[in-house]
Amino acid sequence: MKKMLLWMLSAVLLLAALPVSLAEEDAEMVPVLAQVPDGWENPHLWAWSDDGANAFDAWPGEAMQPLGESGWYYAYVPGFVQNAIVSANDAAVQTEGVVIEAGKAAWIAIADDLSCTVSYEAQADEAIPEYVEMFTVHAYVPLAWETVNLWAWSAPDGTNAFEAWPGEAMSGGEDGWFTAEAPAWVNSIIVSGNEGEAQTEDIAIEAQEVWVTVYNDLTYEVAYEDPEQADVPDITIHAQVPADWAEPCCWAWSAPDGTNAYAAWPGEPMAEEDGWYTVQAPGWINSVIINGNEGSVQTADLSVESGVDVWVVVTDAQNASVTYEAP
Amino acid sequence: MKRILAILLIALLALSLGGCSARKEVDASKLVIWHDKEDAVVEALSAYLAEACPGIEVTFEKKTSLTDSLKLVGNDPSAAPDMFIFAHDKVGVFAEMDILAPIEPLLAEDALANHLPMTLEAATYGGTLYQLPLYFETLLFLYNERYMLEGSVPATTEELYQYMQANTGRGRYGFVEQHSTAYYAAAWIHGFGGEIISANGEPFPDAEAVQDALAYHKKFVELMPGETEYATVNTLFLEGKADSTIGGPWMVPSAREAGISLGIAPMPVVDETGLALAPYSGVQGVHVLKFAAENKEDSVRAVLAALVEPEIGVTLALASGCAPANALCYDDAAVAEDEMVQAMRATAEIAVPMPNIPEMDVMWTVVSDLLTDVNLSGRDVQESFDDALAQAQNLIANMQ
Repeated sequence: MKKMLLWMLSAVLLLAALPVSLAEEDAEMVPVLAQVPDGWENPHLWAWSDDGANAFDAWPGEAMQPLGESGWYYAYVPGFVQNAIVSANDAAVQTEGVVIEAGKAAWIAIADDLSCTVSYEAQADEAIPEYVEMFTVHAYVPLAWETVNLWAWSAPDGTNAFEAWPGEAMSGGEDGWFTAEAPAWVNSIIVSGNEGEAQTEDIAIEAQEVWVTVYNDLTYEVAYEDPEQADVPDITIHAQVPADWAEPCCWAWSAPDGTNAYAAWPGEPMAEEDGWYTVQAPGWINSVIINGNEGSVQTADLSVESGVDVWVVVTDAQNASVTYEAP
Repeated sequence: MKRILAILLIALLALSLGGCSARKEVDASKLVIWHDKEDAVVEALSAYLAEACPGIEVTFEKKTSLTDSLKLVGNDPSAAPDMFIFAHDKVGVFAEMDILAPIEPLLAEDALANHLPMTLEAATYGGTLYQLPLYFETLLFLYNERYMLEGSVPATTEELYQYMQANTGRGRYGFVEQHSTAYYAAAWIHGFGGEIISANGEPFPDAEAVQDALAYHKKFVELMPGETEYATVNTLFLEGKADSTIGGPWMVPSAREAGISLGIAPMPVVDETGLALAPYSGVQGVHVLKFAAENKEDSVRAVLAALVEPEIGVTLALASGCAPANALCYDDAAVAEDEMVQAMRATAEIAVPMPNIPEMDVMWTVVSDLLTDVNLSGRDVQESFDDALAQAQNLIANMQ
């Protein structure tokens, strides 16, 4: 009987614990507000916990929205956030890290000298809009489009995400990709250029991070994986090097964008096998350098075809042959 | 003393017998053909010859360094092939080595009457035809139809430049090419009426035309990536980051595989000269080694007679997108519908066969250095050209 009671008690305890872990999965969102100095345009919020968990994927973080006419901007962060940085002007200006209490709405007033005052009492009369889950829309658009906007709505009921056409201004574009956020309840978008002068037709999408390529003829393609990092199978780079090149390494990258395959020079050590040194590299690379002696001797930049295994025979630092079959 | 003499005699006999046993018996019904071609081409050739010449056993052997291998064994019948398939630009080198048999005596009269003149010109060295042309390749003006829209495809180089100005930025390019590679830059030099080397081996016979081309081309280079490698150009076009390019037919399958809506247009005309950008053409064909021509003449004649027919040209065009050397092939309905093959046929009218004289070997390096100086290092055109000309004259003199 005692054993049965013990089992029942354990089951009750387990059930009681369950909502807690579910709640942790579905993090509570709290607003962080900032009042920025004159000249700060398009402020962004970067936030993290003391144990290093970041709230957002990439610097400078989430774009902050104006809180009505109050002069304050807001963005939502997960309840675990304990530190924040506010930046603006494409991160040309920023605060130091500001400590905030986790789980509370924080109001950060930034002075001209960048000193920050944090308050947990409301500093404006306007109500903070409720948190709405958002997703990112990326658009690669014709070069003739100098400005890019996102219009989004829910079909068939026709509820619009933004107040007026042409909708939310998309930012970025240095690498050709423009970005904006849309609420997770939309399922249809239009990407337009030059204040709506040119536009796609209605595009049906799923409410998740999406990449839309718009061609000059205004046709488009939709992808749910970053087309710039398409899933290309790895390749094997084989190399033979001069006898006095100890512990050869491979440095590999994609030209002309300069994306490196390995974190730091001299790159990935190559393993010896059947008279060849080999290493795996991402299939998207198109340039390699073979080096030895901890990078103190190396080949010139060697152009290679993407996506295929390559054999490099290094005669000396100035001479190397590249083939796509074992010589 | 007698014993020593006997030993010497036995040794001499052994050596001479050894020599006899090393010499291969010539089997005239077997032919070995070296090549460096893709599988589709060789499979088509092999199947065709098996049917057309049933009594002859033809073996295709792929060689990755075909010309280097031939230079080593070309005069050694026990190691050399009977024939080889390669581009025409090494004809001069091998003719000077005296390992090639003239082709015309091995063909029926008028057998080449329907071959495109450009292909025969390419395969001729010192007035003698040393290659039976099978097909040819030229560079093409390729564009992405979803970016370069109808009406924007440039008819002239100035239209191309204006398009590049309007469509280059944010990591995108209106047009890319291997701008500082001699093979590609030749099209611009020809568009100004210049040549890299004359038929008699004079480097840059029209100096002013070459300098004009280099100076004019520079403004286009400024709107292209600094890198001039094949991989860079290829990647930009296939990833949709470049609207147009000048590339070989070998880019076409990968562009279609990448989902590019591919357009092929005539080469733009240089506004200043009225001449189209005229790329080099490479003519792929069959060469016969002298030993085979002399010792396996009937088999060689039979194979050449089969390969001169339009059927094989049509087969190769359909199997691998090759542009046939025999003009009759273009009458075939399926070939007529192949946009790429027809574009190369049209470009053949303006294309310049790669020089096949041995002196051209040094010009690749000279022109490459010249282009690096002008396009990538920003050196003065006149000064760079003078250096290149002196370098070319020096290297050619050293070849004599």
